[in-house]
Amino acid sequence: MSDPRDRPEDPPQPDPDAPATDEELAESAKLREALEDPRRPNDDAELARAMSSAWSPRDLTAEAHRSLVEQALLHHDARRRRQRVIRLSFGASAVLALAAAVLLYVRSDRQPPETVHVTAMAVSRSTQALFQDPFAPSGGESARIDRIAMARAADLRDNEFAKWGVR
Amino acid sequence: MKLGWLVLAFAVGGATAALAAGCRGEGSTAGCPSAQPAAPPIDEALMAFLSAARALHHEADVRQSANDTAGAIASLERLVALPAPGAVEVDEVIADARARLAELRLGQGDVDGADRDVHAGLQRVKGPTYFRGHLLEVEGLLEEARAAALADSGKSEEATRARAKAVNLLEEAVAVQERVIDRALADGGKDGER
Repeated sequence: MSDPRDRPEDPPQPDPDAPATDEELAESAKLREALEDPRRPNDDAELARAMSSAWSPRDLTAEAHRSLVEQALLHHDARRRRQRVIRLSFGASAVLALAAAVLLYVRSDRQPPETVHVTAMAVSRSTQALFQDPFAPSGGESARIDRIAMARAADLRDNEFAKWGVR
Repeated sequence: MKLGWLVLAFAVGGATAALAAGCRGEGSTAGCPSAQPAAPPIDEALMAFLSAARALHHEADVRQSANDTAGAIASLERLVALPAPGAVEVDEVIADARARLAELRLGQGDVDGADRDVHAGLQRVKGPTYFRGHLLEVEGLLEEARAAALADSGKSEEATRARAKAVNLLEEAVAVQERVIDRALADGGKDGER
């Protein structure tokens, strides 16, 4: 069990009869002014008013009423400014998107881009043009498929070269 | 909070721009307005089909030269059953194989089987091409053979109708071939391939 005499001594208490310091005088002046003028922000004055209203409620003075309305309107203005910023952001973004779309459209029409090889690729089509004369009444099918396969093999080779960009 | 809205706004704008770029690009146009289907490029799948069809036609040649008509028919039946991509070339090659099958079946006396092949082939080639003309010609020959068989069996009226049908089909075949020739001449060879 520890000896109470071993405990450190309590810090010295302020003397209630001591004269007020300059700092205390300044704080009390601020509080007095805030109590007289509700527009001055001061937490202690707000607390004092709240306690006073709780103990003996009374009508707001014209000054206090005006002050409350001004503060509420200040909040409202700040919110309106925020909403305006959001609307402007969306508007700017829409204009940007429209400009980008127009730019892409114009560019893709003007320039034959690097994908031009895709449009130049041989596509599936009738083989009719490979044959100059009507088919014989009988036979010749193997010769026809030979011709078709060779022509399309050449097309496929060309397409591969086009894809590799060497044509 | 304000920064979040700004980010969202620019993300929406960016996505719209990207969508516009995608619809103008060469990739998939799914979801883009007015996307038009185009003919597919010649690719490995089509070449694989053509190569297999070529092999089977030559296989049928070998079997025919050995008087193995049933074997030749079997080769061509494999050809028309090959899995194939959707392409004009595939339709034309299968139509030609159907015409050859019909001729072989006709030689075997299988008139109904030949008729089925001809009609299956005609479903593949609707426009005026030598392939369609050739199929109509084979169908005319088929009706001619049917008329002869009917006449031999004493069914003179049916034989007469079959002969008339044969003449109509052969005339239709000639008309198709003439249209093909006229078009080729009008093109002045522009449509010719290598």
